[in-house]
Amino acid sequence: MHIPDGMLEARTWIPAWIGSAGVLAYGARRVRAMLSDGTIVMMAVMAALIFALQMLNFPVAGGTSGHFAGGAAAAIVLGLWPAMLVMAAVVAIQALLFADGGITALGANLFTMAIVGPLVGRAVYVTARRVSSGRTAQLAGSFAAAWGACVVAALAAAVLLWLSGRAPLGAVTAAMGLWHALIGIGEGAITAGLVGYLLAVRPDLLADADRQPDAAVVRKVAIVLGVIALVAASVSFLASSNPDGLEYAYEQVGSAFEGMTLLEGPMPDYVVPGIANETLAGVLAGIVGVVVTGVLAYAGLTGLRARRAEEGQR
Amino acid sequence: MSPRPHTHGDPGLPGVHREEHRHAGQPAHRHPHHHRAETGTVPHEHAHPTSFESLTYTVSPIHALDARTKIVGATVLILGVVLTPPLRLAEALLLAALLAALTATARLPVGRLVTRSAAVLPFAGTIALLAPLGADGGSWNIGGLMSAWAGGGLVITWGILSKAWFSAFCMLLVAASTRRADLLGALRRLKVPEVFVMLLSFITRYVGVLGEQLRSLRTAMVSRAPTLRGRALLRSLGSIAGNLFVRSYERGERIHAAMVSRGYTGTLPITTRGRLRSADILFMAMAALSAFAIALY
Repeated sequence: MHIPDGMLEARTWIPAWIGSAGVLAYGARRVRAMLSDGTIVMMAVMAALIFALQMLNFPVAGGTSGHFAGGAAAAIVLGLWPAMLVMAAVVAIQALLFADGGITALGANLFTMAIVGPLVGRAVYVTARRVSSGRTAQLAGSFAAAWGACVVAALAAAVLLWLSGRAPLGAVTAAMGLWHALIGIGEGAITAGLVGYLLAVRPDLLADADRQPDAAVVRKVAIVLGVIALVAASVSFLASSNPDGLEYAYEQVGSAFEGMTLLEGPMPDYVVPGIANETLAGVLAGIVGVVVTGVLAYAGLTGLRARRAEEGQR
Repeated sequence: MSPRPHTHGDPGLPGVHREEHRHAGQPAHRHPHHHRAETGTVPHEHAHPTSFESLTYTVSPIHALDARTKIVGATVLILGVVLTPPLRLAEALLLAALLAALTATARLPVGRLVTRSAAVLPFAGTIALLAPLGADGGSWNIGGLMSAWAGGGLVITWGILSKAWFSAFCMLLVAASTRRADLLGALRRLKVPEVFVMLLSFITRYVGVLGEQLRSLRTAMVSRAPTLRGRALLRSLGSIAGNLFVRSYERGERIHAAMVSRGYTGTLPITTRGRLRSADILFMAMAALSAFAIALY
């Protein structure tokens, strides 16, 4: 599920980067405010643990295997914000040191695996706990939390790929959803096993996480995600008539050279290179693209810097 | 026992397999057996950082560059690759030449970087094969031999695979030429929040220890119940995860106590304090130029 570089279009990965960075920066602030130094050290060891536990692989189907991801497990035993940060660290280290998931795609990968996964896991688990606090309910709740987190995160990745025009929505959600519905069974069973072990051996650790106030937070994040989804959906609706920002620019620039261009197809940038005016059009489109990206990146960075300054003043 | 080279094919029986093998002086035979080493984890090289990490101790001009230079340079180059339409032949050749030159300058084994970066291909390949379904046409055509539909689809497939692979190679170059402590210090100096850098540094520092514990727990499980399958296997894996969780929690308490007794006050010291030199400026300029050349051509 680690999306590599080059698969997402700028209209997807830039908003994903900004959104994920914002949510995680907020999470980092919450964690700093909420936890003592000792608990943060503990959280850091838990990040290493989740990374190590990803070595746990299990058979899925047809001789293939999946591996434990741990997002829901982290959300259950650590609480929502610590789990998001822990998963974000795991995903980031995979991108930085193992080229497992891209750098431009890191925002998208953080969104699916470090935000959506723990959020869904925590929400399902907390709901199950509210229904009943018995052992069976907790185990069933953890299974459902991990399965749901796995499947919903995969669907989120599929939607991001679709928003990038990478595949038809049906095909990509079916492929990702079905596959992760299978992997989710292993993920759920291991998570339930983990929670069952803790209930038997150290129930106090689970109780610690339960005491975290996240009902309000879960609601707040759900609203933020809803807004992001709405914006993404409307952007994609606008984009559907102009398949891609770059392509759109390309087409606009191309039409300025009417009579000289041979750009007829809906994907004009795939024309064999070599024609002078076309190269020129490409250069201009590239400049437009770089300027737009630069402005967006600058806006994002300024916003973050302002937030950091604010944080410093507190 | 002197086993013939085994392919540990069956992930359903971690460590246990039925491959033919031979004991000294006896004919080849097969029966379920396992070795001391945990074999179930082999496909995930990211779980064993030490072997790859050793490359970061090579001595080369690239290794000597400031870590910030390498992170920023690789990011800029990847941006160039990502923002361009599917790479044309000239662009792909330029990139390949650039990366080959960097790898040679860094005295790193090309083959290892190539195979390791190829790990992106299974997922990228799946999407790359799905992508043409969404392309309802394209004006690119190989000598009129293929339909317009197939031509456009092939270009998309090439675009996804090549970009993913080149970008992964760029990041691996950074990972193989920068020591972990320098990399993390650079992130801190690039203004990544401290809590986050702390999580990253703990991952790099403790994943080896915890992974080793996990391996011995699994070896113990496989020795006692070599044919566990299905639900029972998953439940046992869950218990292992829970066991390791409790142990790590207690380890975390000890680590914190040790840190406090050595003067920890809530902030991690940055050990690397390098300055940007002319070589760093030159390197970044080169990365930016290449990125612009690729993005704008």
